[in-house]
Amino acid sequence: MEGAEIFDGDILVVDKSVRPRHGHIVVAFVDGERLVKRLFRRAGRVALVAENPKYPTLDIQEGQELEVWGVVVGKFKRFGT
Amino acid sequence: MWSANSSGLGLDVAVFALVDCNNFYASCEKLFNPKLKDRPVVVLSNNDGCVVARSAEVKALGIPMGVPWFKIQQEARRHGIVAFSSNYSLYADLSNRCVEVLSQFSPNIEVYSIDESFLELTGFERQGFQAYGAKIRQRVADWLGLAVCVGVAPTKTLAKLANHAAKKNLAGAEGVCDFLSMRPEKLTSLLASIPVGEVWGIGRKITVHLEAMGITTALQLREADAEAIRARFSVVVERTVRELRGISCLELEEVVPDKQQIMCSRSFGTLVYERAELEEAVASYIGRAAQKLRGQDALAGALQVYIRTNIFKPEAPQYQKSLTAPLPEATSDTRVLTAWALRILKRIYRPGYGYHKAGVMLLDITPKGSQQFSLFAPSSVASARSGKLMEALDGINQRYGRGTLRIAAEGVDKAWQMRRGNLSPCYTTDWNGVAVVRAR
Repeated sequence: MEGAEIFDGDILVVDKSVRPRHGHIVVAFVDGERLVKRLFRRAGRVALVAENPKYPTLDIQEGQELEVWGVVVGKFKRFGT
Repeated sequence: MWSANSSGLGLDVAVFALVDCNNFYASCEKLFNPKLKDRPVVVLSNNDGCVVARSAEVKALGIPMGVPWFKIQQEARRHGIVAFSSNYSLYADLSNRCVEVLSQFSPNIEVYSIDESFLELTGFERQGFQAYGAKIRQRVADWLGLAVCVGVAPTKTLAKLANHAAKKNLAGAEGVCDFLSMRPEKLTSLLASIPVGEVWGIGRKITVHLEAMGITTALQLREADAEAIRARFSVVVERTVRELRGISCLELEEVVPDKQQIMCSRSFGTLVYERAELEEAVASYIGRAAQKLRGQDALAGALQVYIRTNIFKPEAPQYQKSLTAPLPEATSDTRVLTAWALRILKRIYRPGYGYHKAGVMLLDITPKGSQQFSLFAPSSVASARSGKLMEALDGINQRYGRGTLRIAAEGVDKAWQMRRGNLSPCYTTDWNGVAVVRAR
């Protein structure tokens, strides 16, 4: 998620009270995995977009379950010590 | 249709909502773990002894509450049941968050147990408690990710039953059941379908006696002769009859023991700043809670202490904190419980605040005699002696008044680590327990 300034070891601030919308960065549960992605929801298409060209966009197929757990509203960066 | 409670004018009928989290401990475990979706999950008591919580999937398998874990190993393997050691830090924190959300819906709230709260809705719109309940339910689901059921009624006893009806899908809709808007004949037939033992405050012993008298349903208890019930049982059971009739006898915030938790808390008359003063308060609450615990012949496996400033004075610096500690061995010994409570208090106390309220909660309560002894537990001789001492303590306090004989603060030996084979991380209270998410 480098495009969204999210790097390994960062601590994300997740707000469950925010209603997830198109364009939000979200924590999602898909197929038993916890993921952080940008939520795409337009024209009947629902997808999780990685803000990193190295990883593909994950299209949510019909019948596949997507649980948006919460919306990422900020982050905390830990410096290596 | 309801009798008025105090005014006699039929105007200010009390309204209570009971909000209860579904499969609370199991739901807490599922909340942060994506691999547990649709999987059967159980939570075990201290030292991984017995099943103390079951997810909906486990209930559907017909696995009973309280069954020793080792007895269902085969079944568990066959159905892929995931078992967790009880993580009271996690449950207590989510419980507190839940109470915080519920506080937005009523200024008067009684935290009855770790997963149940009464909200007083007296004076709120008479129309649309169903909708209000749905709103509560939706907000807890959105903000916390936990499912709750809501029962609304003119008494606490009926609110409990309304909640039961909502949870079992007997009445109401979408996990909300409002007795106030229900037609009387509908309510009557509903109460006729609920066994008398399901009524709040009607324990197993009383149930047996009532059944012998031909009273087997909630409806029959409602219709029973209140005077006769009082003569046969007690004023407490008579009160239950009146509550079933819609006459509110039980107010919010009475200290009531639950099957699984005993709470004792109180607001202070004046603000308290010093730890020593808080210690005295907490120790006295433990004394009362522990006596109650022994009164029901039970032991506590975990303990929570909380302190808070006055939330109704937002201009003053605010602080609130609660911390839960599992005990190395279940106990009802006031000395042990006090020592732990004071240790917890030391951890959460911050100087410089004016404290308004403190409380303690005994958790993971199991009947005496069914507890598992830790390998490192004090010898049975010592625990028999402790039992005798506590008996003497309660006897003296009963005879000469509460608090005649008390515990002076004392230290404890280093606690032995208990067995907690599959403990989930403390996702919400420990930085090392924060869930890791894949970013790619």
